[in-house]
Amino acid sequence: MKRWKDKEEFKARVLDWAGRLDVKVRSLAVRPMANKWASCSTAGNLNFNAELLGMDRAVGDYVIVHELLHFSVPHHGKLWKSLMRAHLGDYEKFDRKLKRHATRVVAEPA
Amino acid sequence: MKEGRRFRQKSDVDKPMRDHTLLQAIARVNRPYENEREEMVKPHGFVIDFVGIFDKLEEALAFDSDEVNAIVKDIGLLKQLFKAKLENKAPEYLALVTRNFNDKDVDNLIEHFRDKDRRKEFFKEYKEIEMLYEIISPDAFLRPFLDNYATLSSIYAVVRRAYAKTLYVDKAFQRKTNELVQKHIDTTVMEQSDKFVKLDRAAIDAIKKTEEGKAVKVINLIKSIERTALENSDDPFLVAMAERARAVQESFEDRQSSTEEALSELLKQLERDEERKQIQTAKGLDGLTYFVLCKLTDEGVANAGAASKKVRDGFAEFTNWRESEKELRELRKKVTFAIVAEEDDLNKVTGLVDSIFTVLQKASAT
Repeated sequence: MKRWKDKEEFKARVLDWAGRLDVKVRSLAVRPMANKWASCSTAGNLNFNAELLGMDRAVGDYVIVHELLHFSVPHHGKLWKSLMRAHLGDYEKFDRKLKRHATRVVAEPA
Repeated sequence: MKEGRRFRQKSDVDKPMRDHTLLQAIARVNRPYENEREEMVKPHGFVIDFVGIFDKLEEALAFDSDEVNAIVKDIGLLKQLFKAKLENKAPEYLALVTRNFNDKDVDNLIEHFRDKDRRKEFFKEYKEIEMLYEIISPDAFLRPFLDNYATLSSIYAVVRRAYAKTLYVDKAFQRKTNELVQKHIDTTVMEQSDKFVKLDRAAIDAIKKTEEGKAVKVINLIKSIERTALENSDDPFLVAMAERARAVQESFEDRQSSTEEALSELLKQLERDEERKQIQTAKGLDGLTYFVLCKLTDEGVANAGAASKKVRDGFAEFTNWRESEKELRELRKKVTFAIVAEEDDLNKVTGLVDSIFTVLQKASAT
């Protein structure tokens, strides 16, 4: 499993994907979040859960692309799914990983 | 990144709506839903406008042009993906059909996709390709791929119908794919893997006579047995046979038995059932009465004939026993009394009553 070096590396990755997906980012933050992995607003504000830094980079890529695609496709329908697949291949496995992680955290609170 | 409610069945709205709120409400009702595992499909919603709110629809549908442009740009990427999948993934499946879906082709498909994991992989791959087609179509780009895509879709339909868990499968495709398949493929081929066979002596003889298409026969026989049991859910013999047929299917799909073995086991069961029907008819009894009679006779209950008729009367009186707990309770009481009248051993009576209900309740569980 390859993890992120630090917050800056993660942010650089977000901007890299934003360039590829033609998304204008106005503000970008990686901070602790209680209930979500990430959030975005159409104005260009992006927030990511800092917990992602301790996880596999591929999972981080999944969350990044997931959010950035919402700038052009605001739902999880056919178009969004197909674009996710076009960019990441079998992206569902990352989704399952995140869900498993969330269940583990709930089951074994720190 | 939060999932909204995925599947809204009904939405009553009694407040004024316009612009985005109106669009959102319609979109939510109209949101398609598909669950491959549960075989649930909601292709579109149904909106009834009681107060003329649709007059405001034009304003609500004025999309932000940036949003539309972004989608148009992304379509190029999806076209590449569609092309790559049709060129790299599809050929191994297309090679399975060499004779325009004749009986041999269909039999090969059913045989090839016996394995659940192999089917699962194909279904996933196909659904991804179908999704892309639905987004891209109509587009001249698709033209060179149409024949292969239609064939691939038909392979999916044949395999899906053959191995569907539910007996009545209606909609296999999304809208645009459905139109394409109707145009390109003789859709009767898709029904071959889902043909209902009337279960009688003539059918058994006909199946035995031809050597070919064994996998299709296995699948069609299992489905026919299940359907017959479903339509005659008060006949314990048929219900039990359907359960055995499902076991044959499991073993066939897990490759624990060969196609020949599965077919011969099913035919054996049908032969046995034919004999049963003959004796039953000769005695002038229905399935349930004869079943109870056999059970009671096997257990050495005296006057089994009279008791089995009383049991039958009980079932005729409490016809809603599957739905109503009260009726089930009353019926069990009546069945128990009918047997107790002829048998003193209470443990034996309880065992008999349990076994009658266990078999019949299996019919409602399917």
